[in-house]
Amino acid sequence: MASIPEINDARDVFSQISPSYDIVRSAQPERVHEPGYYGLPILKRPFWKWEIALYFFFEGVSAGTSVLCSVLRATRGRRHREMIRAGRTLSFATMLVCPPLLIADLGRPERFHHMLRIWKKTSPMNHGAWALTGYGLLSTIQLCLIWPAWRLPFGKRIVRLLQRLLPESVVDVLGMPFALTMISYPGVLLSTTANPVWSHTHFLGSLFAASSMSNGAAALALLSARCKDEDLHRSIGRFEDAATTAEAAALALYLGTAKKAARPLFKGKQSGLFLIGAIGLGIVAPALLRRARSPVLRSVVAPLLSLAGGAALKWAITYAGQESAMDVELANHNAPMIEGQAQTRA
Amino acid sequence: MNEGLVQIATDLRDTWTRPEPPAAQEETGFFTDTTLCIGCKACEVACKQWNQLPADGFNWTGNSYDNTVTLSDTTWRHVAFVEQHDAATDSMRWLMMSDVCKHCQHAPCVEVCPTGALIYNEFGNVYVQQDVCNGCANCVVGCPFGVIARNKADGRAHKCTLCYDRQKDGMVPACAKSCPTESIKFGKVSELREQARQRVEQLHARGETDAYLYGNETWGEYSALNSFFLLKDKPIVYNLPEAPRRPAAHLKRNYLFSFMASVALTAVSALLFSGGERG
Ligand code: SF4
Ligand code: SF4
Repeated sequence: MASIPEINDARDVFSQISPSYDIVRSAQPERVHEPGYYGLPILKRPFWKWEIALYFFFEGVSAGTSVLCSVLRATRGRRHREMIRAGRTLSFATMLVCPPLLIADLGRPERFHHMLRIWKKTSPMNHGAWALTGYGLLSTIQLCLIWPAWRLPFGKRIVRLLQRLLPESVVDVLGMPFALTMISYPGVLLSTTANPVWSHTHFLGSLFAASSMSNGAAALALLSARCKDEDLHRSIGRFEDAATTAEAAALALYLGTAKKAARPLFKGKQSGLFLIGAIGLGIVAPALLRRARSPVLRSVVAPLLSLAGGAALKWAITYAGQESAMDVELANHNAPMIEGQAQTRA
Repeated sequence: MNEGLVQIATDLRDTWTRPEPPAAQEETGFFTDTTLCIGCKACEVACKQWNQLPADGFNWTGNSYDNTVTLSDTTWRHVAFVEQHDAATDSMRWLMMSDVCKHCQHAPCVEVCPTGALIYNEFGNVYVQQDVCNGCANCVVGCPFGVIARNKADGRAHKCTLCYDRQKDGMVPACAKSCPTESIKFGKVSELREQARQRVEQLHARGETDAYLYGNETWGEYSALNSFFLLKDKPIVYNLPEAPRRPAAHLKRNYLFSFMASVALTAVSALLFSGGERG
């Protein structure tokens, strides 16, 4: 974007009150020769920024780890109790970060619970609020079930009662749909908007989902770094490969369907983070490093890079919405035209 | 202490209480005929006054006579000014258009709003219930026309209410009332649509063949608009999208692919983890 001249007038004062004026400033320099109306954007810039980007990352790690822990418990729970305990603890800790981030993002934080007034079929954010509530509750219970009650600072009685009443397998089964929703909805939330880079595709949801699963696997790999069981390492490593492959495939589908709308990811402020961070360091590098000889590279460096890549991916795509909203051409043709239904003059 | 608790309890109860909505009436809307607009901005001023919206400052944009630039949380009517020069005949023409929330029949802002703050009121107008909105800003990214915005000072989303308060008292919205040329017409949507069609015919008969209606009926994946326009050039000339997106049309497919990815990967993990046990 061209450099933006300072405007020293009352609008500066008002831009404190109303953010729409930021748009005015950024659009001014190139107004004359741009298409449309003085080159002004059609869409409003998203208000979703770092809180939401970080939320997508943390909830992805949390829910991804949670799903994998449930699978691990069902398949080889007896052997890897320690592992599952560590996984559940990490999943719980990353889950705890989520509500504050979401609440901080609101214009009226004290009204967060208004999202739980209703159930709304067409609103992914509403689905997310319910899923997070259920998921938060169940992941707390899961944590209680896996830690021996005597090691807790307080609440020993309740925990013992829970442990007696609720078999882990039942809670795991109950928690699964919530965790899967947590993994699946964030991309859909972004996609069901008018913002081109998020919405000109049906695969952003799958991309975020695959990234969250691979982040969950990376978290498990890190936690199992000191575990002696070679077999476990091999299984986790194979799953990391599978998840990374799925992520790469979803990314290809996303870029292939978004086409021009993906421009802000290749040009502009987010391109470095996207190309180097998300793809280079987050997908390619870990896949190569998992084949390295050194166990440190394999089970410490590779998963760390993969986690950082997940954060970079979600950050870059969330912020790409800022530039995408300024794109007049794409906002103008925001949906496929149906033949004969265009209303423009011939 | 006690009072505070009682207050919180009442607030909580009110959050989940839903009184009977008023009985539905015939749908109302705007028909904005841009061929009649003289760019006097009476509508902008009347809207600001009636709705007690703050001024936008004294900025000189240099974009013709347009100094309010865009619809926003504090500007609910916005007059666009387009100066066109025809090189062939070396003549000028002015296009002026009073823009406003489109009050879409299937409004994306309503569809994505997670709190249910955005509703269709009894007049079929899209309305933000200010006591419900929590400022999540989902509607801001949902609207394909860039109409609604979140206010920094009060943290909630604002846009044209179609003067809900005035309509309740049987009055015409402030902008339509003040418009000296009747470029802004308020009324029952069914009647406005008929009126608009006749106006287009009239203009065509007079040789103004570029006149057409924007948002009079469903187009592409988008619903008709209850606040629609008569335009003389491509929509984009007035900063309106030619093919607006309706996010809800893509919801199912998005979810389908997304859940396919997460469920399939979970199944793969189960396969891999249990395979190891045996081997
Ligand atoms: S124009 Fe935008 S704000 Fe107005 S009803 Fe339609 S989607 Fe909602
Ligand atoms: S900002 Fe308010 S009106 Fe807009 S979607 Fe969120 S709760 Fe609904």
